[in-house]
Amino acid sequence: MDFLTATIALLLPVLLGGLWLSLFVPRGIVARRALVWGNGALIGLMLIPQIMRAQDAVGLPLNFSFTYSIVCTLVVLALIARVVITRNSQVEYTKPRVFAAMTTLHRVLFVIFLLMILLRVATLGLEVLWRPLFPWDATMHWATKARVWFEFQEMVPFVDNFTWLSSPGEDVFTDRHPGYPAAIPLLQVWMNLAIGHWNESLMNLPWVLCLLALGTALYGQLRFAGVNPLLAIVATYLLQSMPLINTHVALAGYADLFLGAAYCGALMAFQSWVTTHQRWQGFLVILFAVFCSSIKSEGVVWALTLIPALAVTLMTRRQAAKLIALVTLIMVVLLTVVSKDTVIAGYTIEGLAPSLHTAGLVGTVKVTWLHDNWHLFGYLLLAIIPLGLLLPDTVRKEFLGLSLALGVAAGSYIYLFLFTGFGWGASNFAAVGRLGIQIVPGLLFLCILIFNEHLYRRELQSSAKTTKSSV
Amino acid sequence: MLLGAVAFFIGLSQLYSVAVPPGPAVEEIVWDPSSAKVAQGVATLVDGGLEIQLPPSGVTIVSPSDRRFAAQAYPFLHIGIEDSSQHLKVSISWKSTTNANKHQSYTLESELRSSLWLATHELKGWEGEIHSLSLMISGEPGETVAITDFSFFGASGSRQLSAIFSDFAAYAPWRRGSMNSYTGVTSASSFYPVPLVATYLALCLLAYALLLFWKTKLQFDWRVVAVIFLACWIALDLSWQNRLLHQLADTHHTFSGKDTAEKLAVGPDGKLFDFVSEVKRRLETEDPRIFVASSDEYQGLRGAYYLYPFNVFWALRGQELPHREFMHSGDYIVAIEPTETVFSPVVNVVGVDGGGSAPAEIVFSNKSGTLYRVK
Repeated sequence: MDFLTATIALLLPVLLGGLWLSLFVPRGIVARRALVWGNGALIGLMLIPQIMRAQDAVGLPLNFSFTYSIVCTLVVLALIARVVITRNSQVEYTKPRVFAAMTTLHRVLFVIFLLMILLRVATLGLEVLWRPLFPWDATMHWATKARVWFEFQEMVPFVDNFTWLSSPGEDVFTDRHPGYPAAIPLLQVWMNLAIGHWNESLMNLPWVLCLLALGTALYGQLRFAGVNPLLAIVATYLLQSMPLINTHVALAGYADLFLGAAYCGALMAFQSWVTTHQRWQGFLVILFAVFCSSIKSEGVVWALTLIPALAVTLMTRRQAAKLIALVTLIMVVLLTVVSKDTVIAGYTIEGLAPSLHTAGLVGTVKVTWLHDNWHLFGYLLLAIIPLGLLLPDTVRKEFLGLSLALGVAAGSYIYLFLFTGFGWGASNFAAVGRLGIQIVPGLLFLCILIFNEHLYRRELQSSAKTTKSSV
Repeated sequence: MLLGAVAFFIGLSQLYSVAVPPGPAVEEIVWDPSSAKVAQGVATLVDGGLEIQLPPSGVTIVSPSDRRFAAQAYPFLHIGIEDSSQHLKVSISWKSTTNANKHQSYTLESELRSSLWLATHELKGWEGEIHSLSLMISGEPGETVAITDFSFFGASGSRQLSAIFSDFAAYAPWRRGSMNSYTGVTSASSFYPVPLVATYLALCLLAYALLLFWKTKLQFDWRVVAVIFLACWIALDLSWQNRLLHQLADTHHTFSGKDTAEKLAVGPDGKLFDFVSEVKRRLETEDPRIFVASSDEYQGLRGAYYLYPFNVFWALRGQELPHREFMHSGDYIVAIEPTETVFSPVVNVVGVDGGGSAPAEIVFSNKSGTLYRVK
C-alpha cells in the first residue's frame, strides 16, 4: 500500500509538468515525448513544493488530500486544454521516423545503452527503496525540517541557534542551517503525506525520478539540437553513469542533484531557444532559472550566469562587452560599499573576499582528474576546449551564450574553492565534488554539442567528397 | 586499441615496476594451514584451508609461521577468506625491525575477500625485516571462517596486474564521506583507476594517430575516437556497477522487508536509535525543549535527528550545553556517549566543565547515554 501511494505521489508531478508542457510544445518536433516528459517531470517535481508553500502561506494545512486536489485539478485542466487544442488544430504533422532511419548496428547499440541506463536506474532505485536516510547533511538540515513540517502539517519556522535559545515557548525550531530553501524538505513532506506516515526510504524516491527526468530531458534537448539518437543516448548514459551523481541518488537527501537538473534544464532550453527562438524553450529557461534559486542558495549564482549569456546572444559583441563590464563594475563597487556581513547566495561577503588557497587547488584537481567521481569526464572537458576553439566562427557564435554561462559558472566554482575561505571545502573534498554535480550536467551538454558539430562537419566533408568523385 | 594496450602494458612494466632487491629470486611464502597457529577459536584443517569457528569474543588471531623475511622481497600478498558475515573485519598485523618492532596493521577495506591480491609495498610500515605476522579476524561469535590462502610473493608483472584487477573489483560499503567524493581506490592501491584508464585512452589515441600517419589510405574518423573513449569509460563503469550491485545485495540483506523503525534499529546507528526511542518514551511533557549534548559530532547529530519532531537543540561546534540562562525548568537534556556532560549527585546539577550547567534529575540512563530533566 505504501509503495502504491508513493507511486501516485511520484506520478502526479510527472503528469502535472508533462501535460502542461505538452500544451506549448509544437507537435511533430523531434524527440517531442522526451522533451515533454523529461522537462515536464522536472518541472512537476519543482512545482509541488511551490504549491505546498502557497498552501501554507494562505494558512491552509499541509495535508495530502488538499495538495492532491489542487494538482489533480491542474492535471484535469491541462487535459481539457489539450483536447480543445487538438480538436481546433488544423495542422497536419508527421511523426519523425527516427528508428527506421537508423542502421541495424546503431539500433542494437541504442538498445544496449538504453538497457545499461535502465540497469543503473533500477540499481539505484532499489537502493533508495530499501535504505533509510544516510548522509550527514540530510540529517543535519534537510530532513529535520521535513520531519517537523510533516508532523505539524505546517511550515513551522526554523531559526538560528541563538534565536531559538532566546525564544522559549515560541514554537520555533532550530537546526544547523535554518535558512536553507524549503523545496527539498517539502518534497519529502509530500511523499510522506501521500504514504500517511514517516517513511525514511520511500520519501527519497523523487531523487530517482529526478535522475531519470534529467536523462530524458538531456536526450530530448540533444535530439532537438540535431544530435543523432545514438550519440544522444550515449550522452545520457555518460551522465547517468557518473559515480558521484549516482551516489547522490542512492544516498538521497541532498539538494545538489535537483539543482544540477534545474540548471542543466535552463542551459539546455537556453541553447535551444538561441537556435530556434521557440517561445516554449524561452519559457523553460525562465522557469528553470527561478527553480534554481528555490532549491539551494548557490542556485542564484547559477541562474545569474544566464544574464551574460543572454546579453551576448541579443546584443552585438561590443554592446554585450560594455554591459558586462558595467555590471561587473557595479558589482565590485557594491561589494566594497555594503557591509561585510551581507549574505549573497548563502555566503557572506567577508567569506567571499579573495585570498589564495593552494590546498583548494589540489583538492579540486584531485576530485576532477584523480578520483572516480565523473569517470573520464574531467579529461573530456580538457579535450573539448581546444575542439570548441577549432570550430568555425559562425558555429562558435551559436555556442557563445551557453559557453559564456558555463564559463562564468565554472569560474565562480574555481574562485570559490581557490580564492576564498571555502578552499577548505576542496582540500578535504567536503564540498567541491558536490558543487560539481550542479554544473557537470550542463558542461556535458556543451561537450556533446561541440563533439556532434565536429562529427557532423566530417560527415558533410565526406559526403561532399563522394559527390565530387561521382561527378 | 590493441596497440594502445601493448604500449600501456610496456609502459606500466617499465615505469612502475616494483623494485626487486639484488640477489637470487626469492622463494614464495606459501600458505600452509597445518603449520598455522590459532590463538582463539576452534580450528579444523579442511581441503586446502583452515576452518575456524570464532570464539565467544568473536575474535581470532592466526599466525601463519614464525618466519622472518625482508619486506621488500615480498611486495605482493594473496589472501583468500570464505565467510558469510557482512560484519567480518580482517586485519593483517606485523612487526618490523625498522619501526622499532612496533605493531603495524592494515584492515582489509574490500569486502570481497575470497581471492584478493594486495600490493603490500603500498602498506604503511611494510619495510625492513618482517616478523610476528598474523591475521586478526573479528566477527559474530560462533561464526565459521575458512582461510584458503595467505601467501606472499615476489615482484612480477602478472602479480602487479592481479593487484590492479583486485582494486578494480574491490567493494567497500558506503561511508560517511561517500557523498563528497568517490576515490575508486583503497589505501593499498598502487594506482588511481581514472588516470590509469586515461593513460590507456591517450595511448590508444596515439596508436590511432600513428596508424593514420603510416596508412595514408586511412582517413581520420571522429567515430573511432568516440568508440575508444566510450570503451575506456565503460571499463571504469563496469567496476562501479559491480560495486553498486554488491552494495545493493548488502542493503537488501540488512534492510529489505522492514519498516522505518526496524530499519533504523538494524542500521549503523541501531544502538543510538534504540536509546533515542527509549528517551522519547520517557518524555513526560507534550512539547518539551530538548538539548542534545555529545562530544562526538556524529553521535550528537544523529541523536538530535532521531529526536525530531520534538523541539531539539544541538550545536555542531562549541560547548555541549548552552549557558544556564537558556535552560528552563521542564527542559530535557539528552547526553549521548561519548560526552563531557556530567551529573553531580551531591548538588543535583548537570553540566559541562567550563560551560553550561543546570539543576536537574536523572530520568533514565544506559550505556548509550543519559536523559536529564531540568528542575
